[in-house]
Amino acid sequence: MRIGVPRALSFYRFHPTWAAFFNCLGIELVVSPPTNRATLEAGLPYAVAETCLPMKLFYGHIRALVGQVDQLLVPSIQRLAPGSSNCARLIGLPDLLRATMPDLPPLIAPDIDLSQGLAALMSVILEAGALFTLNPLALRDAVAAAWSAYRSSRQAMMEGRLTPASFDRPTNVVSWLPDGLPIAVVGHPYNLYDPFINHQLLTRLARLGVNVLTPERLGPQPADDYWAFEYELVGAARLALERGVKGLIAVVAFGCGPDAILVDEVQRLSGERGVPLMTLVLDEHSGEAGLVTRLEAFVDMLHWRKGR
Amino acid sequence: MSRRVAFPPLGTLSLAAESYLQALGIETVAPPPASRRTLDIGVQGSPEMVCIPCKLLFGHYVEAAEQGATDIIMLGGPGTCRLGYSAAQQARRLREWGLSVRTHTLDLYHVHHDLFRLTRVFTDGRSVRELIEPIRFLLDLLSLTDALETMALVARARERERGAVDRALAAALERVAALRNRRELGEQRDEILGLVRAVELNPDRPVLRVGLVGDAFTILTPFLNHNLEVRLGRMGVEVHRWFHYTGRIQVPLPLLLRRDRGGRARRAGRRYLRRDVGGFARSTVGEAALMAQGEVDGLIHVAPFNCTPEMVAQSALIALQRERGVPVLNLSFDEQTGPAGVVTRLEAFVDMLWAAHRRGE
Repeated sequence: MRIGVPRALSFYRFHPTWAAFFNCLGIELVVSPPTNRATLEAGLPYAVAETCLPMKLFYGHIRALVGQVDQLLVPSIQRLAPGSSNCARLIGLPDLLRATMPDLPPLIAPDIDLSQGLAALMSVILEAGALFTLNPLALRDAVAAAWSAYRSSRQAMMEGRLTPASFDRPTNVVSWLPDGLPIAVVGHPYNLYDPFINHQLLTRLARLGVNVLTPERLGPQPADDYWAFEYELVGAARLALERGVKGLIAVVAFGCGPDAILVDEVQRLSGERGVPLMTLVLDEHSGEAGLVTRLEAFVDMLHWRKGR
Repeated sequence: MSRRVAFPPLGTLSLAAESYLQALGIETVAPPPASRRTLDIGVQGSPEMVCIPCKLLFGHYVEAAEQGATDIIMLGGPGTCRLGYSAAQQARRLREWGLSVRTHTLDLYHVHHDLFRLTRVFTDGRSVRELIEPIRFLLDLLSLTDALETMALVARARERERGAVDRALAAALERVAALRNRRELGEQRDEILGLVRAVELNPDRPVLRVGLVGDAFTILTPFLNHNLEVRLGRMGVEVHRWFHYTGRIQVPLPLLLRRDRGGRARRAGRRYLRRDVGGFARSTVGEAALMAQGEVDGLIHVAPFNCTPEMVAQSALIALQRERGVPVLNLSFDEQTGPAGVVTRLEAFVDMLWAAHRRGE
């Protein structure tokens, strides 16, 4: 059996966890190829016009898998803590797919809701696992493998040995310059680690002599935020400012519900510390030239401030 | 200093809320109705990318404070949508702007609970028994205004004299606003309903039936939707609006036991949207699925630009359209939307529905 995983959205957070789980059950995961122009064009006809770019790319990655795999892994990530919330699109992801694409293979779509406690999570896992094995011991081993993969991948990312871009294939981990300018780039990992979506932002920054700090390097994610992935913007910005970064870049997708509000928080934090902030808003119309100009100007300005 | 409570202007809800608060002996402040100024204040005080209801609400809060309110009831609550988060942000912004008001959040997901909680805050812990009568008054007020609006939405399509229904509705709502308690309401109910019922209609005029689904705030605010319901009515369209206040506040029962429309809608919508994604998305889709079972000729889906839950609903409606063949028009509104674009699309949609009607579809 071949299970398809779209290289989009949750892939950049949880792929090592899923891979460990399914490998332990002897099931092959097929990840869609890296994003390119064709991915976007394949996804656009299925997307509601106003939706965000990561969502449109997600549809494109699903199209790349349809016909190649027996099942698709599309979890619905709902809450990480009681009283918290998540983006409506991420909660309704399986429903969205079924509504817009009539020709899909069966979906594996567990509802991940950590606010209901561990027992509820286990029952969701058992339900999803029952599709592959009825042996509870094998499932228990798979859960243990997934949990340890989750922890070790978090640790490896904090130490800079692993980035979400290198989850399933080796890529160059950018080296740390001894006298580089420390800048934090905050945002959701699918906005930071997909070079297509952000016009190779991280590589460009490294070429400009910048040491980039990203959210997963900065610290563990607290569980009690209002939005499930609020940390990736606000929490990371706070930690980065405490570490004394010289500049902050917030990367958000146009039309992102939570980020529309969170950017305001980041702005407030950077304003309080007097650290310059640049907000990059991504959509399918943003051109490379505009981005390069803004980046160079921002980094020049930071160098000038440092020298002053 | 005595308490002066303001409720954001939200159609007939604020009318009922004010009468209710006054019945409790609480002084109220009526903020001015939504205007370009309200929206401009809201745009200035909100993050650029949030939706237009969030922006307009902030404008209302500021205008309420300017009118001398000491306490403002804000709409929010976790799980609703961005409102859950932005209510807290807006409360802080009001303080940053130097407006000294106390803010209270009405949790839209737990209206039953919060209605009691807020009432007790405002009445300094009055006993529950004393609250029963005012709460029954509030529910009766909402049921009366709902009945008036439902009648007007259907009657407009057949009025002989243009604008007659709206004049009668305005007169009726003025009478409702003057009601002081449940006894007065009981005595005058039929008379008030009669004002709208008395409008002369043309029963022979052929009309279309269109279901209005989507974000309740945008549907209920003519300022935001460029008077959508009135325009449709005058084009000869009976409007079936999904959202009514009656039925919102009800005894919570398990879904399987609910025989009311809300319960049926939830069951009808499960096929298209199983998960609760926040906002009104699941109710929207459920109501649309019910309406598509022969109640209407077409559906209009109304959303603020970039409303995340309604974007999910919009995708679910694609499946409804595919399976049921019901035409759906999507309209999204933001501060840049002009009336001309809305009118053109409405006219084209209505023409198309008539063409389908004539073909006998």
